[in-house]
Amino acid sequence: MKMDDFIHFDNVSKYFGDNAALEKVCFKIKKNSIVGLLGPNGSGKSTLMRILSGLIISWDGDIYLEGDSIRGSNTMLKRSGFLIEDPSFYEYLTAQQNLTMFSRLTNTDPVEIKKVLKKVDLLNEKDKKVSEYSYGMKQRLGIAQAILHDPDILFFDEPNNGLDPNGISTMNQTMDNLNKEGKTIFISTHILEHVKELCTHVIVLRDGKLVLDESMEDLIKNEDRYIIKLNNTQIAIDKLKLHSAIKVVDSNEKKIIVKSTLSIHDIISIIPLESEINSISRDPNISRLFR
Amino acid sequence: MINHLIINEFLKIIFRKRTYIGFLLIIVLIPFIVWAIDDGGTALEKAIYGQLSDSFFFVGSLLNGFLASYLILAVLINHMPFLSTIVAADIFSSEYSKSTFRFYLTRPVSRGAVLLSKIVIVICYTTILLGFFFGYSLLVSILWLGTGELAVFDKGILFLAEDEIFYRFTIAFLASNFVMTTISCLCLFISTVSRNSVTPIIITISIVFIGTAISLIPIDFFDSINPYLFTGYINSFLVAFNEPIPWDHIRNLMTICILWSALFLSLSFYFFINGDIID
Repeated sequence: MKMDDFIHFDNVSKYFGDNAALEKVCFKIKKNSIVGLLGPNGSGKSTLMRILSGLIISWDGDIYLEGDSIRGSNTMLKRSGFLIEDPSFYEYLTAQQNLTMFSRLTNTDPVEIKKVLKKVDLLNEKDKKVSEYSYGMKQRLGIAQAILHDPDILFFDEPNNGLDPNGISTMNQTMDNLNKEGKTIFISTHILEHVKELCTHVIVLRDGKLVLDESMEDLIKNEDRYIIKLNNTQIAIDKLKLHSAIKVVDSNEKKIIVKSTLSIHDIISIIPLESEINSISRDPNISRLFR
Repeated sequence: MINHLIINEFLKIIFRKRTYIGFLLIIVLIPFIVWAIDDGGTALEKAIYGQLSDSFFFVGSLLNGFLASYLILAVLINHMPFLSTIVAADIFSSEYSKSTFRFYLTRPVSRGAVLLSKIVIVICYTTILLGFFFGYSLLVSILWLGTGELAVFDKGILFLAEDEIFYRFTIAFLASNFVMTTISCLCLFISTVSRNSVTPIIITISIVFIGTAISLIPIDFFDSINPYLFTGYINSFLVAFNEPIPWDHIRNLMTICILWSALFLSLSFYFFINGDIID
């Protein structure tokens, strides 16, 4: 295991009856990265979050934190902060009382409560009952409870859910600042734009299976890559090579991979009819992986 | 850490309005009943001691604060499970239904410790509520009707001296508390597997109701199993006013209640510690 493999998911599976919520998921997270966990609803994102947070007890495979299995140990919980789905606080208590309660569970100095409330801009609202908070304020309080014990890993499940554009911008800024403070952040979302703005790495799940694990840098590089499936590759390659805006990256008897800033329609118009195109698609395209 | 968890659970119940429903009902109901006993005292005395007045000559009134408390406790104790389970019914199910475990259990604390802290709170709440019921009944009754000897039925009429009555009420409270705590443990167990707080109360009260019915129906089979059911001991606190106090019966009551409580708490541990939280 390499030293920069901070968290390693090794064949993680979870079944609910006969249904596989996660199936042999393997990937690694580097320290101080912001990883976007993408996937449509029901793809297994929340299940993965719940396994990491200890809410789901029985699962197969293993997860390693700096080389040590997290099974039967609360090291992951000690070093992590979680915001899982909707922020669910004790609504009849004030924000201060809620955080005081959580601080007792991690032996955190109560002085930290004011600091984190200030960080999420809720210090003036600390004595209000959480039931009087707006959804956006609850999300910010959710961030506050997650960072209260100064963890080095943060797991945010759909942190931008229900937020207006301003709220999303503030949330993204907060996460970016936390990452700059040295925290490794793992965000689960089904909104592509959030990943592009924030993340250094992208993991895509579909039907409980891992379909993409790539750095954002590589992903962006590959955004202008196309896979063309056709019957006569050589005729097409000869034509494509003549065009300055197209670079043939790879090919075999049935497939050509090209890199180009042109649109799909332009590329199709360049390829001769006798090549008999079967299909053409972006590679890899996150949106496509969602379908 | 367990101290911190207990403080947290204490805060959770102290800031919830439903915690006070039982206390409020007792505060309102007891003076009303004491007033009714005082108002209908003569008729009540006649009903209780009527046939004895042919053989005995009573000087003064048998009706006093101790007798009023004794009657209140005897009548209302069967309804106490409704009140004593309010907190137990809610203690897990509300955390599931409001998803608060998503924050609470993602901290480095063991689920066993969380469960233990909740058990401590449920037992404390049950004991305090029952203690309040006994204490408040005595206080209001004594202030309203004064003190005196307590006349109860035990193989005929038995007069208990004033100086031993508090001791008898204490034994009655302790015996009753064993049964109520067992009922709360049952409710807590159902709460660990329920996603709303009404279901545990309904199931618990149904079990208590069926168990009480079994103890009252004179069928050999029911008679044979009744000593092993905690529900058969709900009214057993009255033996504290017998002469002599049947300690064997109280020991049986304690043993049965402890065994049933242990079973309910073991099941709670099993389901809570091994259960996935996916709500």
